[in-house]
Amino acid sequence: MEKTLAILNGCRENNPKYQKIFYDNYNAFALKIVFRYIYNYEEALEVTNDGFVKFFLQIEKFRHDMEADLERLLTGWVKRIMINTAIDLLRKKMLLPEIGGIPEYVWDIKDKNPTAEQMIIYKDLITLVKKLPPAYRIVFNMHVIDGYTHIEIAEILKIPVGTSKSNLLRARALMQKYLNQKEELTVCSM
Amino acid sequence: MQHVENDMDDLFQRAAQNYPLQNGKGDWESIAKRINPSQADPKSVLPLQKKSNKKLIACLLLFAAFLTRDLLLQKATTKLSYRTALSDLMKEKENIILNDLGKEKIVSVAEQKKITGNYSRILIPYSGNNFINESSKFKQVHFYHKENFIKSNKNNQNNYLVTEETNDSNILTTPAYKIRERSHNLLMDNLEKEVEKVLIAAKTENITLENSLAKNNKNVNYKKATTTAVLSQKKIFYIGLEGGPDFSKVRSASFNNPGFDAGLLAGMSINNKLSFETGIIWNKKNYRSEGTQFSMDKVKSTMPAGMIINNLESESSLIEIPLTIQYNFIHKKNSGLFISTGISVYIMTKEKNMYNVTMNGTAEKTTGMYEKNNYGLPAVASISAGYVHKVSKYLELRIAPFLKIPLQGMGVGSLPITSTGLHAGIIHRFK
Repeated sequence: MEKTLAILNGCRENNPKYQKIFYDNYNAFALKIVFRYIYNYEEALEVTNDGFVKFFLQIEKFRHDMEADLERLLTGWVKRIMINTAIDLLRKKMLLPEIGGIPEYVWDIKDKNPTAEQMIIYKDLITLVKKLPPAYRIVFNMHVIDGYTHIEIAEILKIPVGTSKSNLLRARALMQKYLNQKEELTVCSM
Repeated sequence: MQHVENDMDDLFQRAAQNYPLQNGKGDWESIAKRINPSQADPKSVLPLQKKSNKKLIACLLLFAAFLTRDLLLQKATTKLSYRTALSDLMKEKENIILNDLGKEKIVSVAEQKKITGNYSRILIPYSGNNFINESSKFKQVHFYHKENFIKSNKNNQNNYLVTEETNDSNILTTPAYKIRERSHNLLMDNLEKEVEKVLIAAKTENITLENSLAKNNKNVNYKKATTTAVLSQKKIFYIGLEGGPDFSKVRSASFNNPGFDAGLLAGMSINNKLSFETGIIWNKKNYRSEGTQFSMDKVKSTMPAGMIINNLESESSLIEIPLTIQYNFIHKKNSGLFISTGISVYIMTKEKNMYNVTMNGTAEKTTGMYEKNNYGLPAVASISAGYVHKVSKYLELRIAPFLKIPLQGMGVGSLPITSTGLHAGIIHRFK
């Protein structure tokens, strides 16, 4: 915790050394968030960089009352910035679906890892999320994974609460369909 | 049901936290520059600036070198043309003046006995044709007609040029062919001064030699080739810049917004009629297509199952390498008309397709971006006709509408794209 405080204070003072440490510590975390929203890996890298720039430029706005909550609050702050930056890009692209597969090189699955099988399951689930149309993907990610309420989602996306709920329903229905298709394929291949 | 949903949500949350993703090396330097521009490493900025400055200076020097070369070449060409024209015209003038004197004629051996009186000069078919004065000493040349010699000279040559130093006793002549040397010398003096005066006038007044001499002596008929051949030689190699709007479409689809072409050319003229050209042209094409024209072969694996493409709009960036042959069917002094034909090969650098699709009975829109295009090299056949106008000795402007017909499909969908448009360009010729 003390270390986090020192890093944060260093970032506030625009000290490049602490800024780099912060970036190295949170880059993987931030990229994982963004990649759930942004379909293309290279674009996700750019959005992550944009998010960090925003963080460092707006760091003065970050306040924490209790030092014990610093890590949690900071993580939440970074998460929020990354999600907003990702949503901004998707809005610019007019929420048009992307096509084209996800290349294998973006995944970091080590065969010898004992949890490799589990990693594959997680990878498949995230792939299914990315397959959703952008409007459904945003709501699914924000509500199911990131814990936003429909009211918060409606406020951020500037949509009616009803639209948020219906998008989530459709997202779940599609997700169910994808999962069923996957099961059929698995059965057939056996 | 809610329990199942909650369990699935938990699973997705765990997946979101733990799924395996490559972090890559990160791009801290670019972030640092954006948040702390004043602390950006000057070394990383300066070399780029230095490189840009060096390139700019190199371009300026090259351009200055071209200009200087052109100026020097013009001067040399003028001098050369002046000297050559002077020499040629003096020959012409001499011939004509001699003829105009009315006292010279070429006579056969049979006729010479009938001639009385003196002749100032007799024209000799030296070297088989008109006489060629190989001596710069005009004053000292005497000309004898070969057929006038009853006996050949000691060298037994049919044609020879006699100078003052020659002993006349070596040549057998009749009294009818005495040369009046004095009048000849006077004539040559006047001739030289006259031509010199005319040529200087031409240079200062900036009119053609032909016109200048015609002003001074209307009886003179100068061959155009003598003057113009030196002054206007066909420049063989050339380079240029060309560009213009591009309108593209696929078969029956309508045209989309215009794109553009811009690029560099290089060419070689075989003669006044034929030239070969190549170059490198940057293309931006905007076109529409019906879904039936789009081939799914290359992208089938990445498209969702059951998706049908109804139509699409595309924006593509390409590099074109043309190879054309140009024929100038009308070639005037300062302008001309040409046609050209050839083939072009395209390298697609970027393709963005906006599809209108039907998926599971629902109409949807979707976008595909393809940056690394390894789908072969599409080719087109091109034809154009145009007008070229010379603005200076080495510079030409040209304008030509074109049509490009596909020989091979282009892009991920192998679309047969037809293009038309207008190219305007500026050409610089080298001697």
